[in-house]
Amino acid sequence: MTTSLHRAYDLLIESELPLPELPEATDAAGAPDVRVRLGDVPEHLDVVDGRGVLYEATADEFLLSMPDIARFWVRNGDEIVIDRAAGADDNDVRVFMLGSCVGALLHQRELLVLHAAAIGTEQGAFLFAGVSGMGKSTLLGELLNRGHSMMVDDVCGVVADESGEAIVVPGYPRTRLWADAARHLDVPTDGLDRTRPELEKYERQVPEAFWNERAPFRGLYVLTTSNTDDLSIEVLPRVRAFGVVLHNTYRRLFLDGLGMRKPHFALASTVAATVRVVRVTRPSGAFKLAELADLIEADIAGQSGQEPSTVAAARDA
Amino acid sequence: MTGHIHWLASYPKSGNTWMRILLTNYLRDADEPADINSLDGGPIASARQIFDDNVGIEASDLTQDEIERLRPGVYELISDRVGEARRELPVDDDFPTFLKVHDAYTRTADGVPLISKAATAGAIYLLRDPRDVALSFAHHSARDVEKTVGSMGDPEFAFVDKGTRLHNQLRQRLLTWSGHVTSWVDEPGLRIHVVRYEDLSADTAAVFSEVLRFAGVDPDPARVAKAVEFSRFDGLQRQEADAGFGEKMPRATSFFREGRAGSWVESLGEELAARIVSDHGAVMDRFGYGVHAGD
Repeated sequence: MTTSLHRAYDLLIESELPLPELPEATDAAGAPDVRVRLGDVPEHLDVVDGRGVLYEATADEFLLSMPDIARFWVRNGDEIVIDRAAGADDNDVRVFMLGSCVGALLHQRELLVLHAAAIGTEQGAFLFAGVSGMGKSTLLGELLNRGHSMMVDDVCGVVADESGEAIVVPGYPRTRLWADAARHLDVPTDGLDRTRPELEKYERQVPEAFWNERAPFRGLYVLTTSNTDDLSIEVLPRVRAFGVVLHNTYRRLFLDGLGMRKPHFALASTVAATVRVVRVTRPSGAFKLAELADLIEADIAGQSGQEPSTVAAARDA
Repeated sequence: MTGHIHWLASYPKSGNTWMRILLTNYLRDADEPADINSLDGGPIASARQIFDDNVGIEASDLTQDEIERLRPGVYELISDRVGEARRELPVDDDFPTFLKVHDAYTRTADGVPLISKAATAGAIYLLRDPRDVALSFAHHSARDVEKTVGSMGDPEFAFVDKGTRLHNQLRQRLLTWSGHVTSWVDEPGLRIHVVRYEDLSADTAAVFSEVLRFAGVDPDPARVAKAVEFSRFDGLQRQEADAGFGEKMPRATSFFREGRAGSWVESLGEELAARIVSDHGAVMDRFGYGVHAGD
């Protein structure tokens, strides 16, 4: 079986499934951190501590069953086993592997996993969260158009370094855009692959705009909409920031099954205490994308030179 | 019915939000009216977030048919969780779980009911004179009334039907207005309680008390009276004017418009009223909506 070696989320990943989205690890040395292999996957886990319609989870094990596509078994934070359905499309398999399965794997490795897009800057990493449909990927597209570099589009990993500071790890340089958003951003979709054959949602690789280094976590912008015409920005006090971090955790219900509440809470409270958490509200009727990006760029620029502790102190004062 | 969800089912603009406001005020039993921006029974069964949270993958990675195949399982899972939570609650704190839904009672591509009976304790079906619905729905969607009447007669009518962008709700097939009503009220084996908006308007306390009884709650008359008072239309309009209402469509000027039964007589016009009667006369007759003003 041929394998390929990749680096994403600061992990060396060896895969039997082609993963063209992930940067290749050309200079890799040592054993891989994660192995993705094709093999048999049980119908069910022996013990189930948490479940959803398509998944079962217990400490160190996560099973996702996607009918007619594949079953995925994520174990111990270092292995993903894929049992493909006959005739399943490669793109279909990758969509679920790179989404929920990588999310579960990072949870198992005790990262704080946020449902967010991220850009890397000289000042650090800034994240854009919000429930599906709020415009994370569209905003990321606009920021890419303005010359920013992305760290990840959807599944964002955060770790604490030795001093306890929250650090964002780079994912991979791929974004996904719905047809309407691509049009809005002047991104031609002619040469782009669809994420899945039946969906009008496109994969855009931007290796030239990849921030491929760890970066201190400086800001979390949570996108919401309102039915008014207002575009507004509100810095959240620490007590509210904690709930917002929990709420924007990637597939947070996985955590119950995986038994990861404790480390997750610890890292989430670090983030709430040290990172500037901002709620950004845009009109649901009109995106106001350029104005939104202006507002966020100005807010990021306003933070320049300030240490997060200073920001936190100023906020609590 | 073995499930734990009481559905608040209706065609749009038929009193669903009013019922949620009554239920919220009854449940909270507070000294002031419940905030219309934090109501129980919501947001809605078709909310994308409810799907994403419970399935394990995102609806945005799925086709419409795949999403619909999985929705019954979402409601069964929610029902199971409600059941587990209720077993741990003291009896006094127990209250039924309501969830708003605008989908017609349809079946998935596999022929399975979208609104799973295994998840269902019962359904409260709200309906309203379609001539008033047309006016309210047109205002709500900022569309003209004639187009709205056309949609109400279109068996393919659905919310969020377009697949080129991400919407915060999933596709909801509404069918025609008549089709919506009969899909719910004639579904075999579904425990259902039908509430006419006009009856709820005429005697809110009595009709609301029946809804509570249907859901297994013994109504406390003082709490009912307070809930009715706190859910008065003028109070809701005042709240909306002061702080806005998150469920208003962006282009509509307000959500709580008039709330009056029978306003179509002055505002709809003979031609559109006749068209609605022609499209929906059979179901209108069945539920006592006379085909002439004043019937």
